[in-house]
Order: sequence, then structure tokens, then C-alpha cells
Amino acid sequence: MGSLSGIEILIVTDSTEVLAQLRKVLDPEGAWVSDARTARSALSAALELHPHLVICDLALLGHGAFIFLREFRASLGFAHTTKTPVLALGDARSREGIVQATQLGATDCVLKPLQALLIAAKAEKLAKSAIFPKRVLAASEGTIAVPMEIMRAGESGFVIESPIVLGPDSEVKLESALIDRLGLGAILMRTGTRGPFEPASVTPPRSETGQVADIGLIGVDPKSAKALRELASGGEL
Amino acid sequence: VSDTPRVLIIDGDELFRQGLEFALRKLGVEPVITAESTDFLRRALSGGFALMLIDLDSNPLALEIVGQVRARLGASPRIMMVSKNGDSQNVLNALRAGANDFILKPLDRTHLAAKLSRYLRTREILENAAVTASVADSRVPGKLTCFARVTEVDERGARIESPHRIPAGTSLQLGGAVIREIAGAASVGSGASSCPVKITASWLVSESLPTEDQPASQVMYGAYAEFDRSRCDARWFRAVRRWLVDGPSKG
Repeated sequence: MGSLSGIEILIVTDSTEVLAQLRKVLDPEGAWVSDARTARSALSAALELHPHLVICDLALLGHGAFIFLREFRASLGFAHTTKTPVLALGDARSREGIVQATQLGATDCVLKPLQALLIAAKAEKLAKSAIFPKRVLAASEGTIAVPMEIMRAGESGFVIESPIVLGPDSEVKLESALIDRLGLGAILMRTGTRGPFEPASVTPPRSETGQVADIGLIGVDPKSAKALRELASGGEL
Repeated sequence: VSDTPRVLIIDGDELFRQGLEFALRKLGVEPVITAESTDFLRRALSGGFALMLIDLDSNPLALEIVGQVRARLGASPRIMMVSKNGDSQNVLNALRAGANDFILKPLDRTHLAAKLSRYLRTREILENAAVTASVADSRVPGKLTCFARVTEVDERGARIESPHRIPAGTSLQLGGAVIREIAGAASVGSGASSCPVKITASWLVSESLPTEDQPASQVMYGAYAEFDRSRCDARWFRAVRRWLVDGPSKG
């Protein structure tokens, strides 16, 4: 996994050569790279992608880079775009451009001709400084689903093995071909109060994660129990 | 037929055998002790033991015996290895051979009692469930869905709380209103109701560990569910960032 794995970078340049040079450095590091060739398309891409880093070529046609920087930082009114790091690509012969870009909100600058190692190092440092807000929720209801295996079944419920240790007296849903065969569909049930106990085996590991699986006893509702009792009366299901 | 659970033991050290026999009888268990591998195997295969204790130090065939029991009786017999040597390779070899557990010599009686009671409880639960039918030798795969609360989301994953303990390393599908909102915010596979995550940390939320006095239903566990980078694409992560920055999409 590269040092920029999972990092979203937007490159703003109308130079095919600059774009190719940057991609050659960033792609192998695992960055998700998008590009825009004008200030307008760069602004909409930045708002669409919420990148960790914008790399902006100051040589963009018609002072496009400065228009982009000004709009991105000041005029859009989105709190987040004021914080996204922007790496400007400048020209040593145009000091004023670099100063202006810095005044408009560029976070850092590298000079052309571009050096691969310097670009990679700055991109990594800046991208990882991008902080997106976390959102605390008032306990939003959710679900967790894991693979499991049914070991036993019958009127008192199921004995199952799964990678999680089930808490007692909680509502869970079981789905399996066996349950379908019994004509029950996905069934809601409550876990037993006797709780988890020793795994049936540790080799080979049963759970998908390679961990020792735990077992819980799960109770079924009366209707499902009747169907199970009838089918279990013959012995093996 | 006696209801007293029986434990089958093989150990070459006579003094240790005597001490173990005494300890097990005090714990209400009937020990069946032998020093011979063939005798042990014969008795083991005849069945009826709640637990087997195999000494790893005095018996060069110990791991083979475990393999034989597993090959002939499958996953159900509970096997605990006993050894003076607790280095990780020794333990690993025993577990790889098919043992359920490992206990160090000299035996601590309280420790032995605690382990024993867990094994006997397992047996009791399995036998109580025997009003039920076993699902033949091959287990039936399926999916288990439990309810959990999502308490926080950041760009890498979500904090969740649940009455179920989810060990770190577990891969699972996280679903619910928040996941649907995020997926909807970027039209990521419209209707996507869950996303693959991997648990990277888990902890106890409630203040005390479950005890006899505190019903386990009062215990809540927390976990950090990281969005699985190998199974979620760039569009998903963009959707998460957009949801964090802009909030849920309107309508």
C-alpha cells in the first residue's frame, strides 16, 4: 500500500506534460487523482470530490489559478474549502505569482521543473494534514451483520458459531438456507440468557477473520419453534 | 448411569496424576487417568468424556493423539493440553494439532476450576439444546444481524455501541440510517444499505465487567468500525467526506 493510499488529490492544470509528471509520482503511491483544466471546472470538482489536497498550476491560462484560489478560499462560503491544503506549482522567474498565490491562500509552493521526490513528500505531508470534521450522532440506530454457522437447531432455538460474542437477551436476526427450508424466512429472535460459551474448535478457525469463534444460544419465537420441532423430531435436520 | 462429568487424563508424572485426581474429585469431576497412549486413545474413542487433559511434556505422541481424536471424533471433544513449557511455539503447536486450550504446570487449582467450569457449562448448554437436533456434521452457514448504535462518524469509519462484543479484526457489514444517508448523498449504488467495515478496536463502555451480581444485559461494548479500503471504492470515501462536510442530502 502506497504512502498516499486512500488520499484524494485534485490537480488543476491545463498542461498535459505537468499532469503526466504529477500522475507519474502520485498514482503509484495509491492516491485517487482527478484533474481539472479550467478554474470553473476545478471549482466544481473541488466541491464534488472534497479532496484532501489540491495541486494548482499557477501557469493556468488567463490567470485561472488565481481566480480558482480566490473563489475556492473566499467566495464560496463553505467552511471546509478554507482549510483544504493547496500546493501551488510556481515558476522561479515569476516571484510575484508565488507571492500572490500565497496571499490568496496557497498553503505551500514548489518550483518548476518539478522534482518527483519533493512533490511526493509535500503532497503526503499536506494531504495528511487535511482534517475533515467528525460527526457525533445522537446514537443513530444501525445494524451489524456477520457470517455465522448453525450447529444445532430445534424447538428451543439454535446453537450458532459466529465471530462476535452475543450479549444475552438481545434481539438478533438469523438468515440461512436451513431457515429458508423450514419456511421461516429471516427470523427475529432473542439471544438466550445463558450467554456465550467455549468455541467448538480452534483449528481450523471458523470465523472469517481467523479468530476463534464464539457460540451463543438463541431462542426462537413460538411459531418458528413449532416448525422446528416438527422437522427436528426425525433427528437430524 | 452417573451424572458426574468424567475427565480423561494422560500424564506420565505419577505425583502430578495423584494431585490432579485429588483436585478434580474436589471439583466434583470423575477423573479417568492413564499413562499409556493406546489406552488413552481407546478410552477417548469410546466417548463420554466432558474433557480430555493431555500432558505434552511426558508424552512424545501427545500431538498425534490429539490429531487422532480429532480425525475420529471431529470437533466436539474438548481437549486441553498441559505442559511446563508455555512458550508461544509450544502453545501454537498444541492449538494447531487441534487442542481447544492450554494450561501450564504447576497447576493453579483456582485456574483449573475456572477452566473446567467453562467446559462443563459448554457441555451443559449443548446437551440442553439437545431437545433440538444436530445439523449433521456439516454446519449450515448463514448470516447473523444484530442491532447496534452508530455514535460517531469520521472519514475513516464509525464508532459503534452494541450489547455484543465484537473482537478487533472482525469483518462485518455496517448498516442503518447513517450508512443509507451517506450512500444517498453521492448516489453510491442507490439503495446501498450497508458497507463493509473491519473492527480495529473494541472496548467496554459500561463501567464494570460482567459479574454474577451485575446482569450482563447492562453491559455495552464499543468498537471502531473502519471502512474496508479493499472493498470500498473512491466514490464511497468521497460520499463520506461530503456527508461530513455538507450534511445529509435534502429530500
